[in-house]
Amino acid sequence: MRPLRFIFFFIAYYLLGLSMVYFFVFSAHYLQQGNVIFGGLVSSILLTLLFSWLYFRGVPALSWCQRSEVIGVWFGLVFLLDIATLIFVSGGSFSQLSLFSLWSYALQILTLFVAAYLTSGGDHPRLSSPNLALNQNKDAS
Amino acid sequence: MFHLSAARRAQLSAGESLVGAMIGVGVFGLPFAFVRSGFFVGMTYLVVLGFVTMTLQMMMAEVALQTKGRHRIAGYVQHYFGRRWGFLSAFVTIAMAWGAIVAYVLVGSQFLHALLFPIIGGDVALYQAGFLVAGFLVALRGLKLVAKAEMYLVGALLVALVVIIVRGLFEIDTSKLVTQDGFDLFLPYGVVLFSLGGMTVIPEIKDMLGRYQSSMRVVIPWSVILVVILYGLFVTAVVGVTGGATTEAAIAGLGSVLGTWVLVVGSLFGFFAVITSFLIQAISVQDLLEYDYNFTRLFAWFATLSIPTIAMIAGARDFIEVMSFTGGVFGGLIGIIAVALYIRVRNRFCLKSNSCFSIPNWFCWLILVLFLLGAIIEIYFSFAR
Repeated sequence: MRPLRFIFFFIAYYLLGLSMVYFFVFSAHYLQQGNVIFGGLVSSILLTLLFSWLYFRGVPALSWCQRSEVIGVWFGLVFLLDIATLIFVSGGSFSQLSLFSLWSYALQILTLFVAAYLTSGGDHPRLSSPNLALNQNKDAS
Repeated sequence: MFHLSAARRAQLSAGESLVGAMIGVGVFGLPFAFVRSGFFVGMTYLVVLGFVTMTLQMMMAEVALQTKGRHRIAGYVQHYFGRRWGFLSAFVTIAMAWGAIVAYVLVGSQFLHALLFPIIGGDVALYQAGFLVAGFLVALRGLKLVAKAEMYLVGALLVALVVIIVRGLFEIDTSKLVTQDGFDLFLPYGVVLFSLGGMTVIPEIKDMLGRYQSSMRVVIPWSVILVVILYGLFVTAVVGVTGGATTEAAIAGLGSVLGTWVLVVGSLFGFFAVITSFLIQAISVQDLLEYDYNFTRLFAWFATLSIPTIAMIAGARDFIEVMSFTGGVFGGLIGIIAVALYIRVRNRFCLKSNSCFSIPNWFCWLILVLFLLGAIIEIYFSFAR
């Protein structure tokens, strides 16, 4: 499980992600271009993929049930910290969460599952083609 | 110089553990609750609920004595009532721990604020966030050291309380004992129940006593009486000195009258007692979820963290209210569980006379009704206040 590894990568992801999102939000205001906000979403998703992949890569023995629990914890922490930031730092309220936020959360959960899938071992069919040469060697021995 | 028999040594050690488990953050909420309801109303709550707590702990001790093996409360419920009821009682135990964790964060951050504000400044909310984050990061490691440190820190808190009581008793103005700030007659109910909580440690007391297990029937009453007397003296000292100006965490108001050293000593020992109780509570919930319900350590940690955080984000900032709700609702439900277990065990195992601690049926039902009504009224007042 390696909880400290999880905490390290999660904190790194969250701090970087938050600064990227704020950067794009300020840029959107400065440039008067609303579309620039999507840059924050894209960078946040990419950072999620990178750091969750880095975490899962170090714990290959996790079962799918355990991976789902890790995804639940990762997303739960993101949600809690986002709400806390919204309420205490930005002075907003829970009702300010828009459809855009819900959509980005759904995308984030999907990204976490992708990272978990890419790093999982042989307990499910892989995206890459099977290594026939390795299988042949096994049969031969 | 003094020769103590093995039985007496075991009794003293078990008593020390029980007193240590009962004395905690709750003591700091008592003076404010008593001032709000009236000092003598509060004292009546303390004596009556002290007697009820003693009876409940005796019932739980009887359950532990008559059942083979080591269990937690949820384990006993599962053993006697089945898996579903066991699951429900585990939830009640965890909910009580969640409430306690919120109270620890609120009180701990107040102590931290009192100690550090003159040096680094900042808002109480900032200290709450810092306490919560730092506490949970440490709780993830599951420190064994904390369990060892708790005994000494509770001992230090006990010394600090005695010093405050002795110093306060010299300054008491009896006219302040009749001051009443508001007319919240029901407020002390939950706060007193919260501060007298310690039922979960009873199975451990049985293990500590070993072959002198039957001594539980002596250790429990004396420990509860000692705690009630200490609480009574502490409240008398604080209310007698600060009267209507009693603050929520007691120490700040006391410090402004008795001097800064009381504020520093009280806040310092209070903070250490709170942080260790917080960690032990958080780690025990994590252990329950991890070992009894097979969740991963990480998920158990998050489940322990998330509900208190959500409660605080949703606006749980008044620790008296948190203690009152947690003690009145979940403390009451744990009391109901203890009575139900006792009735089941008595009907199965205590068929011969004098083989069990005997409590009349009508008294058991009286406690059940009292706690059920208390929980309902507490829920009503929590939304009405």
